[in-house]
Amino acid sequence: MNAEDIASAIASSDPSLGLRAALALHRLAERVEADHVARARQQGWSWQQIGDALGVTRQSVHAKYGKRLP
Amino acid sequence: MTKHSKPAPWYLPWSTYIDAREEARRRGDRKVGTEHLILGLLREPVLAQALGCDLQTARDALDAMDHDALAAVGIGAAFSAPPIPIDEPIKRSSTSTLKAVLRDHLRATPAAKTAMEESNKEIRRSHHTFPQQLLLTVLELEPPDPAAELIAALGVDRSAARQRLDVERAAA
Repeated sequence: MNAEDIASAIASSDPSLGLRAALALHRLAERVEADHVARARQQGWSWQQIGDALGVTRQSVHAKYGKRLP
Repeated sequence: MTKHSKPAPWYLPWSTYIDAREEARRRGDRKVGTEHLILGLLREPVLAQALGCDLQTARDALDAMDHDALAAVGIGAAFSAPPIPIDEPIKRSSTSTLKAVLRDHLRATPAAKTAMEESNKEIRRSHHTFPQQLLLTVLELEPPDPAAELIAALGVDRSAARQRLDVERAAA
């Protein structure tokens, strides 16, 4: 499915489901991010490299994940 | 923020909030909502009994609701990811005030904040514990509030749950 299909499916849907879907997508993105930050650390990436990949500072990525990941 | 120690009920909002906040984190949410308050409260066996469901069932119900909502907008089951691992919530200092709780870095949604503030006022009158009162307050919410949607999805009988909580108070 391409982005246009997704947009039109979202546009045509019931708002209560559509709004819930929007939040579900945020949750999905957070889960994918957390999963792959953990993988990156396992593969020896520095916090700086992860920050660069996510477009944030090394401090902010460390503040978010540093407590739980080595 | 006052530094001197305060007696209960001040520590109760704090530990309840930490449980809810970890549930929000686990789910990948950026704010602590009323549905996470319910998940946090389900860690208390008495409250889980009053609602007639357990924590894992409620977590699964929320995931199923996400799945259905995504399917409804044409995004299929292929798009899924595991929950974010969390530490078991650690109860924090009893000296923290409700204000400090509400300023914690994972913020509450306006509805969750209102529910916590109202419950904290209400316990002076109702003689429920803070977690009991918070559950009663959250049970009053109506869809599209996420807690109300979760309660509906779980098939919880709200008036029966309220009665069980009142029995709990009478027994205390």
